[in-house]
Amino acid sequence: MASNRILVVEDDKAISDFIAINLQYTGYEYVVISDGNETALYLEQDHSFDMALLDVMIPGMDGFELMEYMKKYNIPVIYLTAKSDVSSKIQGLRGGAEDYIIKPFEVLELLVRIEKVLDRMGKLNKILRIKDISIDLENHTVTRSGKDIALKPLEFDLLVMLVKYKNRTIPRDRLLNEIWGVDFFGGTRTVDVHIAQIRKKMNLHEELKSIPKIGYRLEDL
Amino acid sequence: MRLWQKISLICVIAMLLIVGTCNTILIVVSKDNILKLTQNSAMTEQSNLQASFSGMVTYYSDDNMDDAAKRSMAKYCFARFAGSESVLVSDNDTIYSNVSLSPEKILPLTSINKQEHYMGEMDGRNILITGEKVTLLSKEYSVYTVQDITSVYDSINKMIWEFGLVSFACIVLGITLIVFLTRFATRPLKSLGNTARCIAKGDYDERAEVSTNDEVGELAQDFNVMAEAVQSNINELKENAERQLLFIGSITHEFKTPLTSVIGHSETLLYTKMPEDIMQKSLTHIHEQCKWLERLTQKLLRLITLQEQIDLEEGLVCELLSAVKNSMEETLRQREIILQTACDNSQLLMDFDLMQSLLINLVDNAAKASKPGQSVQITSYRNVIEVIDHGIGIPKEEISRITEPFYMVDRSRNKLKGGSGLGLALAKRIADAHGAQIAFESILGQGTTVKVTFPVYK
Repeated sequence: MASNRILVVEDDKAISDFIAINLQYTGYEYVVISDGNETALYLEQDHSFDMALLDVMIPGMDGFELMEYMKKYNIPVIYLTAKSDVSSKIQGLRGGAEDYIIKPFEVLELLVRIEKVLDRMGKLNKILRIKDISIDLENHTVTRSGKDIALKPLEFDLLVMLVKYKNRTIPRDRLLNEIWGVDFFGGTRTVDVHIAQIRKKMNLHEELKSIPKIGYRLEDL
Repeated sequence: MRLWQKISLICVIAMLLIVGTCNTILIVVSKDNILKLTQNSAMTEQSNLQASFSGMVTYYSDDNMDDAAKRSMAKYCFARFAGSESVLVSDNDTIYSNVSLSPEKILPLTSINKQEHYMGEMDGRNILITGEKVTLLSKEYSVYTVQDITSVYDSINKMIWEFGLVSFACIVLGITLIVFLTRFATRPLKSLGNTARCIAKGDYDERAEVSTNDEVGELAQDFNVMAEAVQSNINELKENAERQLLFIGSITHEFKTPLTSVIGHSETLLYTKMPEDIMQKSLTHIHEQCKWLERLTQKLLRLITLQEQIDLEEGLVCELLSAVKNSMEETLRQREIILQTACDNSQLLMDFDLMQSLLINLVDNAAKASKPGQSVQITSYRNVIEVIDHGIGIPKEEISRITEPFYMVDRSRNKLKGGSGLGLALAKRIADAHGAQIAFESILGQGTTVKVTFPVYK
């Protein structure tokens, strides 16, 4: 299954650059356009996007006006904008946007929201792949080089999160919150223990890196 | 106490004083007149009686008659004319009397042929005694009339009562009228007060009704003038506050964009494994955005701290233009734009550094609007400095807004060239601080002329 394609409409090069870098290393395909009118023209040629990140204040047609085109091609939209007033937010969401993110934002938050929207739309890949590892999210099975590996449920969830945000350091407390839940009383040592299990079972001693004082990162580069 | 009550009270007091005084004077005068009339009529009666009596006595008697005859004669003659109130006395001998008192004891007559009178109270009755002494045939007679004038006093008292009653009625009517009229007269004040309260509550469109031509009307007019001034001041304040809010909104917006990239790139660098060259790119972005933020804060600081009052000194415009040329030359050469200056010998009152900053901003804008190879001119004559370019021009409908902070005609193009949207706002502020006018004339595709006109210099 091909990776998800994301359209990024953002006129500030510095911003679109870091969005692009993060999309790329998380495993998305993307196209960046910096002008509203250009976007409309581009969509006529190529509209096979799984979702779009739209800046509101862009040259040419603004982000709200582009909504019409997105609806036409059935592309879910997340607005990325510095306009933090409630009325703009309402206008955006009423217009049919899936989400509205106010600048400045955290990259991980953006990635999570993208994933949530794709999941809602049913466009998320059900099978994650990294190197020769393949994870079936529906059947909760993991194979490496075609060989089944038995993981405990929490180990499985941890692996999924590391694969989803591959090449990215995920802080220990973040992993703890996402997988064990905010109510979990145990310390971050729990995370370390489970990571050690995954490393051993999957033979990921090289790829699953400990980043001192921060967390863990699964690399495929 | 309300104003109408005060006015009413003053009027009532004044009315009471006037009515009281008038009544007293009237009563005193009337009483006097009535008594005088009564007295006069009594005196006439007495005179008549005396004349008739004297005539008859001298006619019928002679000096040879003895005293007793004389007395009888006198009594007879007197009785002919006497009324119920007449008394004739001669040397303490009451010859004729119908009254119960002795008038000669109350009013002893001394001189001859002189009418005298007495008015007084006796046994609860008011009496008037009029008498005169006459000598008839070597005998002295006192002729009296004694009148009971109690009824006159009664009618005087009645009159006083009637006066009092009428006065009282008048006062009651007067008070009613005064209260009614003062309330009527002060009603505009009340409505003025209502209007004032409305305005105080924030209903600044409210105006007082000017219905009269008097002081209250004038007050209402003055009040309306004041309300007008208040309204315009309030509106100005509101506009100012809105502009401030908009300005702050713009500032946050302007800051958010570079901050988003800095946060995004730094987060990416912190958490993402990526090749060296891409890391380098991210770092460059962070560096550039931070430098941009620094420039933005510099300009903002300048814009905000620029005071209305600045130190103005005489300066040669030519010196100013050459300073601008020197500082812009390198930048313009890189953009392949030619800067030409022309000036006369005029001197202007200015802050040299601020004016330089203003002109640099204008020249920078002109250069951004121009294509390589085109020229930008700074021309000065008398109290005017013009910056002329032949670039893309400004759309007519945008000209009024270009001096607003963060307003950009072509946002993405301006950003590409490093514009902050603050240059012209700053230029306008500097011009304002000099008391100078800044005007933009532009034709799309043909260029723009910015004219800075200083107040006429003497």
